[in-house]
Amino acid sequence: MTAATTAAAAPQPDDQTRSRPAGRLLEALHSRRLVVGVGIVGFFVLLSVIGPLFAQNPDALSSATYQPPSAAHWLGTTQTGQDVLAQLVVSARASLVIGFGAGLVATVVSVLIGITGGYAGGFVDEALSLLSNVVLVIPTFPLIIVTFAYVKQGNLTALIIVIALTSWAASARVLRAQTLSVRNREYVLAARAAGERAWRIVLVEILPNELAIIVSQFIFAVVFAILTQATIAFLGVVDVNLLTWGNMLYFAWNDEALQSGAWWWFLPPGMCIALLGMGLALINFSLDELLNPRLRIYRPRRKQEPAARVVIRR
Amino acid sequence: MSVLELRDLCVEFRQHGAPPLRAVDHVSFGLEPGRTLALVGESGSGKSTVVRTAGQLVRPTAGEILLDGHPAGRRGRGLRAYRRRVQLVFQDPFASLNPMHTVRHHLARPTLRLHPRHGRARLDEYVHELLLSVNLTPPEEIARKYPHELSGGQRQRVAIARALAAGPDVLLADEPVSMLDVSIRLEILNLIDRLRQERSLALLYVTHDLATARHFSAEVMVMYQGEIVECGPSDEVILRPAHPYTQLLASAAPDPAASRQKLAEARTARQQARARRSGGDTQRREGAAGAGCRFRGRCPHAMDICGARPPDAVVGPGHRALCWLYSAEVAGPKGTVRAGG
Amino acid sequence: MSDVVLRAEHVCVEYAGPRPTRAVRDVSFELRRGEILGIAGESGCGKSTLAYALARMLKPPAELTSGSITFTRPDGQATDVMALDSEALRLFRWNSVSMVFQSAMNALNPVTSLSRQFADIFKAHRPAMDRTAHDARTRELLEMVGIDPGRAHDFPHELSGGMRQRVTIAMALALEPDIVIMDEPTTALDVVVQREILDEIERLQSELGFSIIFITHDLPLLLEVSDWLAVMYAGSFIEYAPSAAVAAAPAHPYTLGLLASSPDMRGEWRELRGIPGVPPDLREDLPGCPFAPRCPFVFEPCREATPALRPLTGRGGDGWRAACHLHDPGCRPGGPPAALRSEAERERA
Repeated sequence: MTAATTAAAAPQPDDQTRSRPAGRLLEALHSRRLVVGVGIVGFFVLLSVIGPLFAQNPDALSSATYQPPSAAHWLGTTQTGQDVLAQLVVSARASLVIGFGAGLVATVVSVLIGITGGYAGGFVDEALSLLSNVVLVIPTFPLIIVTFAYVKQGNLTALIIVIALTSWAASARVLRAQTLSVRNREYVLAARAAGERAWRIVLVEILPNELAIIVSQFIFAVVFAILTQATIAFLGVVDVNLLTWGNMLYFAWNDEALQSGAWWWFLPPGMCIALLGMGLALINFSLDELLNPRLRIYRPRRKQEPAARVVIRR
Repeated sequence: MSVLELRDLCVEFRQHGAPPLRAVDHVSFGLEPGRTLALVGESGSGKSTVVRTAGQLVRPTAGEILLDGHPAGRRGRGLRAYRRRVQLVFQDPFASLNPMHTVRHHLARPTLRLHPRHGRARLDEYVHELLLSVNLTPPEEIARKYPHELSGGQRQRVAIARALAAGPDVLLADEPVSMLDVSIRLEILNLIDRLRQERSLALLYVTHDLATARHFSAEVMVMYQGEIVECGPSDEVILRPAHPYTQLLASAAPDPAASRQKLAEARTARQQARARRSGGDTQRREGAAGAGCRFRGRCPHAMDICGARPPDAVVGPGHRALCWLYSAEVAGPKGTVRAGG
Repeated sequence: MSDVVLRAEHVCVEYAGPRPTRAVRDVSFELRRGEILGIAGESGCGKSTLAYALARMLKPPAELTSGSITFTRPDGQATDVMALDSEALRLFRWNSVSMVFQSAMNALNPVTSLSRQFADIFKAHRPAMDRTAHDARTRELLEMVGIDPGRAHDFPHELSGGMRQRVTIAMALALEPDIVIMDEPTTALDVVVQREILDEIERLQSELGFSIIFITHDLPLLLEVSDWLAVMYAGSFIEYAPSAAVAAAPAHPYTLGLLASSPDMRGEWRELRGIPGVPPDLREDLPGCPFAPRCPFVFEPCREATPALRPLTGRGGDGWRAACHLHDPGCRPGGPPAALRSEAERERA
């Protein structure tokens, strides 16, 4: 007679008991890093959405050139008398759109190529690996600069796509490696034994197990896209009609703000880029800890009254 | 009449800068309804590869897989029909369930793919039936749970239920309890045994544990480095092993009934045997090169003739061993010579 | 009566957290010089935690919340293990108590050669030794465990599993400790290799005379190898018995169940049963006996009071203890059920 095993039977003591998303979310809020990271990113998103409604006209020229921060212009003015703060706020929108847009496209491409190659194996895998490796090795910035020589300016979509298409390769390799590991797990074999078709296995069995990595790769891609745009802008590949932080840096450098000591022009956009990057990185690290309990470091709260302290026998 | 038969199955794996690895070398056996066949071997013997090949998760390099006497379908509809009748239970209860999906998902998918008569209307009912048949109650609660909310024993029961979902005739169990706690192993094995009786399943029980192999199966096959070196009725093979490798396995198992003195004597005998063989034990482990018997490097009875591939000699009724010691040439016309044991 | 080399008293270990897990609950025992103590238990019973506590290798969030561990050196001087400061701790670790870990691949650094790893031990604990002394001792140790000393410069992946485990044993013995704690040293190995390693351990123990605390879930193995056997359940010892006698007459129902769960290969066929149910959650307080929900002999006192590990009267030699109300004449005047009686008691009845 075998005893019936009831649902009430306890799982192994060291299982994670977080069975509901709500529970996990609450736990997440305990992580200071996550709160700070989300706070920073949230601030910039908010800024980009409602900021422009309150700021001055960023394109308005004036005669008050190279003014340091004052009551009229909180972050001073540029060489052409434009309000730096207004420019900063409007740039936020474009920078974020480019960052998240390019990050999304890059992630989608890397997921498609990495996971397909990893699961399919054989010739398909070899071909896709070759493609990834070639794209990875090609120097990004010269490629972008050359591409933009042919793409007409003023096209935000083109900018997003070009940045995305030059940055998916590293992520694809990571996902391929992860897929190679997951595809030999027994639950994937079990799915095959249950007669599941390949596309369903990839989508339903494998992909959900790689979500943590994919989210992490996405966040990296966003940071990378923002920095790439800033860099190419600095190098001169700039659409003068578009306002991004990178463009601001370019104009500042071009108009010799550094030599003039107009720190209020180049410091703010640089700091915004750095802050946003830091916020995204903080989110990435704390997500890692959240999703992989083995990385969790237990930080005890202030100790309560000592219950049974160590009894050392002398 | 065998439901599932493997004939001369060979599985090779390509290796970089080395000849291909022969994981399975001319393995043949048949599974009959309502009977358990145990496949015993150490890690690296190829037993897991045999199971996966029989489950058509690994492609054989040579040999045939026959279902009811006909060649098994390898693709498309034929493969699906095969899967409907042949199912697997895997070793690791923690790895054989997808942590992202509920128990219900794990049972619903094979049902929908391989047993669609139950359709959507009856699906939940069928899932609950499956859970009850493996003693997981209450089924409504269990069906909603995720794998990490279940204990090891419960997870393995879900894995068994999943294998039963398609209504198979053959169950291939790859070390189904070796990763579970000792006190729950017998429960699970008893469950599998009961299901075998109730559903007349043809059961292949792969294990490295001779004790449960003997108690739960009618017949035992012993595998060494890809070959079946001995097969026969379980009591015979385990209590009176013929092949020197089986003898080694049997002597290595703990003997709780033995007295302290007997244990000390056995230990001294083993140490002397080891001292007699020259040092360098890596060579011992790997199969001897060439076409001959793979065990001859470690065999206390090795002879010159062992350099040639040993015959499949008869040792007793239904009991065979791949060893020169029992061949007519060595044993002589009088009959079999029992080596040690 | 040989002298005591390690004494644990009322050791409690807890894993801190939002709901602390009390992994070891009031464990006390004595280990004598040259003795092999086997600790048997299933996953989650706390045996590995206890091992790490004894070797003072607990890492946060695990901490010893109460109890004492006293080590007695060969010269008779007693040391409180938990009170050792860093210098004394360095001398204590590996010199007095060393450890063999479950998986050799966890213990061996895959990217350095064996000789380097041995040298690390000597550099850390015997700064006086020079390079030649390192090499000589390493060769000596490898030979001692049956490995060709010429392989000292190999990397771990070049050795088979059994050889790697022998290397970890050699490392544990490098400084000739008084106690070696072995945490599932053979679980990951084949049965044949396991037998070889055990023979090796027994030979070394009889030659060098160190004590062993051997931890495993494989009860039949312990019955062969150990002198005394402690069965652990839910963080406590529930039976402490001489290995030679316990198989024939276990005192605690859990021990009985464990023995029944490991079928004897050579024995007669009998109906094989395990133990129904699952072990309790160690985050909970467990009123009464922790085994009560799964015990076939459960009766009233079991749910009210936790049984203490009490010496058993009427079992010949001293030292045999069990934590079970069935053996308490106050709770059950007629004596324990037949299945749990000693040989002598059964004969009398």
